[in-house]
Amino acid sequence: MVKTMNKAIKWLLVLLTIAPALAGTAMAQKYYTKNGTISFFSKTSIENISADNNQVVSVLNTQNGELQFSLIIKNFHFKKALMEEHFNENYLESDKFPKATFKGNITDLAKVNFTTDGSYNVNIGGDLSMHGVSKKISAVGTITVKAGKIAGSSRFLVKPSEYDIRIPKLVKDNIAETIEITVSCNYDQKM
Amino acid sequence: MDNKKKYLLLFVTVIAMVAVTLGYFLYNKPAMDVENTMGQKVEATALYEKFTEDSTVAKKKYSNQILEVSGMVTLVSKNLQLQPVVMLKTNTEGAAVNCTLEGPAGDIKAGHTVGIRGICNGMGEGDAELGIMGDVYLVRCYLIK
Repeated sequence: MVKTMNKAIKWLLVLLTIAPALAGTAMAQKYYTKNGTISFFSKTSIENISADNNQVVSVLNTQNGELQFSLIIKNFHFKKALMEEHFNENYLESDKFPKATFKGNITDLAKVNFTTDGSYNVNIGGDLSMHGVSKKISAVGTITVKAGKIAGSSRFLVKPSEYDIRIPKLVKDNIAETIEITVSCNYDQKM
Repeated sequence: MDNKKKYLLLFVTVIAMVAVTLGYFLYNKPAMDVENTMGQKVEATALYEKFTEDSTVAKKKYSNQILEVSGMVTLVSKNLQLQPVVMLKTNTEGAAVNCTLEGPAGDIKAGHTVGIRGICNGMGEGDAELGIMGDVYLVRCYLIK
């Protein structure tokens, strides 16, 4: 009986010793940035319009592939002040819908070896929410691992009409029906 | 052509010219001159607290406004567009007033106390589960000399 209890105490001590290390490993599997970049580009024969948002919050869990993005609409910066005004006031209605989010997963996470330098093409799927509308989307992305640092990028297309974004007839020809979205993030490890 | 028609044609031409000129200036309207416009003065710690205490009140008072925020620098980095990003200390661990500069960051380093002028666009989302706190964002910033 005493022998069994001694054995149990030994195991408990071992467990208590390695638990903090195990917890540390679990935390190290989460990466984030508060200054990622999302840009969009609209191309028509009349004009090209682009805007950048460099204040994107993103969290990547390298253990289960969970991927999240969140941004403030008003942080999109245009070359022309009038375009920025119309974008916020008339199209995205940023006072009413101040944020856009993406919550999803890297669906083929097994392709990525986060401990080996390289560039890995992955598939991403999840819910994109903006302007009060949430839609399932899928995209192709790239995860780059270099010297322990992780970066992610993706490019995909979005139709404003699918998110209830109405473009007035007067400027309909100036804005493409399909907008190209580009995502780039350099992640820091969450300690 | 009688005089009545001449005046009408002149009137229409003037109206069209005014409309085109107005349209041109509106289309090319310059962005707000943040660098040379005075803003509301506020400390980074107080600004962050206002957003965490009552975001509706804070949004009304600070969002879309030019602010002059003073505080201690905790980190200077560059974003993917190579613009300097300066984090100002708040009283909440892991949270900052996150300032993206249009102008140069000079030689400021963590520990320096600085004043930054920029447009406040509100508070971003964090991840409570992960312990990542949302930052208050200032864009189009300049160091106050």
